[in-house]
Amino acid sequence: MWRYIVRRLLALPILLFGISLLIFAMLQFLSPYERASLYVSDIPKRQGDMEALIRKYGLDRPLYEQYLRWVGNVVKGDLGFSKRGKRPVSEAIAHLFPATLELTLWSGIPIIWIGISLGVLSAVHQNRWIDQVTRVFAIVGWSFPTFVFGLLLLMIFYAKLGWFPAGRLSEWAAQVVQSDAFRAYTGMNTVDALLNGRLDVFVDALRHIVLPAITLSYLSWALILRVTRSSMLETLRQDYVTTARAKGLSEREVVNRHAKPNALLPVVTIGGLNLIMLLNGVVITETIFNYRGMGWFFADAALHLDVITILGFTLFNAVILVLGNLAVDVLYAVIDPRVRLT
Amino acid sequence: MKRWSVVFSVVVVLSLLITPGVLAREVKNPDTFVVAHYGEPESLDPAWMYDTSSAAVAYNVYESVVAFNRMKADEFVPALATEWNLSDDGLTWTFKIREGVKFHEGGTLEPHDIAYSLQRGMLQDRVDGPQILFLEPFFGVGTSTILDVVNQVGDLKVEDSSTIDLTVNVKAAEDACKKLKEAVSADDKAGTVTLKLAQPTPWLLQILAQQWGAALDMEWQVKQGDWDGDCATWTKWHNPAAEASVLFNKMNGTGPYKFDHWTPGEEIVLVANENYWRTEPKWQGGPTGPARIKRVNLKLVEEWGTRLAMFQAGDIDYGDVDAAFYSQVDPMVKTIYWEGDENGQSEEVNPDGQLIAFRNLARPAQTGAMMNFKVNTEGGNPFILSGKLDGQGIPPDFFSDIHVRKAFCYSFDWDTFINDASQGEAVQPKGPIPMDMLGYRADQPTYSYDPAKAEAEFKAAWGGKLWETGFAMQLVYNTGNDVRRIAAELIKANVEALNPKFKIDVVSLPWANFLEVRTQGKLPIMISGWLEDYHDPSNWVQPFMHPNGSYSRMQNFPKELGDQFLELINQGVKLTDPKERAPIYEKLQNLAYENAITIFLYQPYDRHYFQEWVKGWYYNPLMPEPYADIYSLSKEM
Repeated sequence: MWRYIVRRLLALPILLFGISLLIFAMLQFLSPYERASLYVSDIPKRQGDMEALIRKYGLDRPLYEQYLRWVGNVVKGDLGFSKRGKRPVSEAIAHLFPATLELTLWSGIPIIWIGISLGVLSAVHQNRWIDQVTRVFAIVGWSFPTFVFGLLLLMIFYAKLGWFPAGRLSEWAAQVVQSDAFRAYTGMNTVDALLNGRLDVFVDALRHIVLPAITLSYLSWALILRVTRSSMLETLRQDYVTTARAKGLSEREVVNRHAKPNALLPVVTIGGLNLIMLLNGVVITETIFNYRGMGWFFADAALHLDVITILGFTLFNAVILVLGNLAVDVLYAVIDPRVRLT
Repeated sequence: MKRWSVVFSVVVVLSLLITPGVLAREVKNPDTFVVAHYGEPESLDPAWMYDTSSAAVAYNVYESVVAFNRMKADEFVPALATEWNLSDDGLTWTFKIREGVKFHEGGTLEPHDIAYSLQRGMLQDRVDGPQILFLEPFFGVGTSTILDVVNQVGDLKVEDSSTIDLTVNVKAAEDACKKLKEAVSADDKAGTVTLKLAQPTPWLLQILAQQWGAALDMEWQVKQGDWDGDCATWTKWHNPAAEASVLFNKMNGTGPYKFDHWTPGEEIVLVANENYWRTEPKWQGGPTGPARIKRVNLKLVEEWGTRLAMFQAGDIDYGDVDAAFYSQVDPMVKTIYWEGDENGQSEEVNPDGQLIAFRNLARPAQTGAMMNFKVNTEGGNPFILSGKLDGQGIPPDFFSDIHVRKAFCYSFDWDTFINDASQGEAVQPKGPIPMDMLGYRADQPTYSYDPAKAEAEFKAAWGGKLWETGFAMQLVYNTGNDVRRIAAELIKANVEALNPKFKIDVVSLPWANFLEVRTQGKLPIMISGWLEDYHDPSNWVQPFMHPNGSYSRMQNFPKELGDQFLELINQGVKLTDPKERAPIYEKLQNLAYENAITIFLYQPYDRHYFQEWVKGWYYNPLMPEPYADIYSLSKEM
C-alpha cells in the first residue's frame, strides 16, 4: 500500500500541472486590467500607467514566461488580489477555509455515522417498519430544498426558541476569541476554544454550528443511507454470510464483523466525495445561517464578477479534490485488503 | 456504558440550550450595538467614500469642525470648532479650533490637521468621488475636478481636463496645490482655520458636517505613507483605487468610537473611545464623555430570512428592512413613532411586541429611469440589440426623439408601482427637485399613466416609422434590487401592451457590472437613485440635469439642451437670495418635465425598526444610515 501512496503522491504534481495550465489558459481571456489584479490592488485608471504596469509584471511577455511567473507566485501562496474580499485571495482562503473545515467536520461525522447506522438498520430489518420509516426519512431528506429546510430550522430553533443562533459566535464569545489572550491555533472556533481551555466558548461555538450542521447532514444522510442499505442488502445475500450464520455466530457478529466492512466500499466512495464537496463550501447553508465560509465567498465573488477570486478558489478547490480523492482511494485499500491498488 | 452515554448526551444538550438569554427576554448584548445590514463599505477613507455604508462608519469615528443639531439638517453645533464666523461677502469662513482634543492613536488635534484633511481630500479627488462638493465652492462654478484647477492655473487650455497628465504638467500641478493652500489655510498660533471661497456657498457647513469634513492627524497620516503636505508630491496620491488609499481599512479620528477591525464580508467593529473629549452635550439632554454603548458591531447579513430571525431572537438592535418585508416585521412592533424621534407623536400598537418603529420619514432620495439620448456603442452594445430601427433593436439615438421619451413617461403606472414596490409609502416626484424644497411647486405638471397618450406619442415617434417597425431593447436593473426590478417590469408590461411589435427584455446585472456599463453610457435607460449630499436644489439638478452631472453626463443631452440647463444651473448656484433662486429652479424643474428627460419614479418615505430597548434615536435626513450616530443611543428596558 505504501508503494501505491507514494506513486499517487508522485503523480500529484502532474495532475496539478494540468490543472494549473487549464486555469492559466482561462486567465488569458481576461483583460490586462484584470490580469494585473494578480499582482497589484491599485489598478491605475490612466492608459499610460496601465502600460507601465503591464511591462512591470511581464504581461506582454511570451505566454510560457507569464505562466512560469504566475506559477511561481502561486507556489509562494500569491493568488492575486480579491476585489470583493478587499484582500489577497490567499488571505481570504486562509480566513474562510477553517470555517468550512469546521462545518464539514461537525456535519461529516453525523452524516457518515448516522447514514451508515440507519442504512445498516434498514437493510437488516428489510421491509419492516424500521426500514419503511428510514426510507421515507431518506426520500424526504433528498427532496427537501436546502434553503427551505434551513430557513425552517432557523425560524423554529433560533427565532422562536433561541436555542441555536445564526453566525459563528455570540457577541461575548467573539470578543473573547478576538482578544489578545485567545490564541487561534486552527481558526476553528470549537477546536481553538478547547485548546485555550475555554469550555464556555466551545459550547457557544457548538450552539452556532448545530443548525447548519443539521441542515447539511440531513440532506446527505439520505444519500449515504440509501447506498449503505443497497450495499448491505447485497452483502447479506452472499454465501459467506449464510455460512457465518450456519456456524452459529450471533446476528450482531454476522452483521458487524462480516457483512458491514464489505458493504462499506461503495459508501466510502460516495461519502468521501460528499465530504470533499462540503470542503468546497455550501453556499445556501452558509448564507442562510450567516456562516461565512468558502461557499458563500465563492458565490459572492461570482455574483460580483471578481474573476481573480473565482480562479484562485478554483485552483484551491482543485487541490482539495485531488487530495481528497487520494485519501478515498487509500481508505478503500485500508478497509478491503482484497483491493489491489494499481 | 449505554446509560451513561444517554445521561451524558442529555447533559450536553441541556447545557447547549440553557445558556444566558434563553430563559427570559432581557436586553441582549447590553454593551454592544449590533446592526445587520446588507451594504458593505467601499472604503473607510472619508475623502474617498461616496456611499452610505462607508459614511455610516465614518460618522461614528470621525468628527468635523461642526456637527448637525440633532434632527436639523440646516442647524449646527460646535464640534472640533468652538466658534465660527462668515465674512459679510459670504466668501471667508473662520473656525476657532478646539484645544486639547486627542486622536485615537494619540496625536493632538491642531488647526493644520483640519486644513490638511480638506487639502488632502481635494487633491486626492478620485474619479466619480465626492470632492466636487468642495471644489466648486473653493474654485468656482464649473470646477468638477482638481484637474480643472490644474488646467486653469497652468493655463493649459485643455478641452477635457480629465486627459491632463500630471506627470508631464508638474509645474501646473504644483501651482494648483499652492492655490488650494491659499484657499484652505491654518494658523496654529491663532488656533484658527480659514476657508476662502470663490463664491458664496450657503450649504458649506452641511458638507463640512458630514464625513467629507473629517479631521485627520497629519503626522499620523504621513507615518502611514500618506501625502506629506508638500505641493511637489501630491500627484502620487491623486485618484487612487479604493484599496490603494492609506485609509482604505484604517481609521484614526477624534470621535466617540475607535476603529477596531474590519473583516470584509463579515463585520466592522468599533469600540468606545474612553478618552472622548466631549464634556458639554451637543444638544440639551445629549450625552457627554465616553459612549454609553461600549462596542458596535456592523454585521453584513444579506439574507432577509436571517436578518428577520436575528430580529426575533433579539440578537440585533437594528436591521435593514426593505419595503417588501414591512408586513413581516410589523406584527413584532410594540410602538410606532411618527415624527422622527421618541418625543413626537407615538402609538402603542402591540403591548407584547418587541420592536419600535419610526415611520413617515421623508427621505431626501429619489430614483429615476434616465433615458440615454445617445447610447455608447464602442466595443459593441448588447442592450440595443440590432442597433437599428428594424423591429429587432433600437438605434443608439432612439431616445433623442421626444415622442419616444414622452411615450415611455406616459407608460409608467405610478400608483401600481408605489403600492407594490413601496407599500404605498412613497410619492411621485414632479422632477429632479424633491418636495418641500426650494424650486418645488405642487402645481408643477407631471406625467401620469395614460396608455392613450403613450400610444399617440409612439405613433408620432420617428416620423411614424416606429409604430410600423416596432423595436426591441434590454432594460437593465442591478441584481437584488426588487424595487427597480418592479419598475422595469412595469415599463415592459405597459409598453408591450400597446403594440405587439414592441419588445423589452428586463435583465439584471450584478452591481459591479451594472456600474461599469452605466459609467460607459451603454444603457438605453439607467435606473438609479440619488441621496442628497446637502439640502439644496443645486444638489438635485446637478446629478439629473448638469451636462457633467453624476447621472446626466451619461444621458448625453444634445448640446443645445445641455447648455440651456447649464446656464440656469450656474445662475442658481451663484445666487444666495432664495427669492431670486426659486424661479430658476422652478424653471429647471419644468424643463425636465417638458423635455421628458427622465421618468422620475419615486421619492420614498422611510421606516426604521429597532429593538424596544434602544433609546435616543432621532431622524436627520442627511444621516447616511440609521446607525450613523450610536453615541446618542443607549440600551435599556
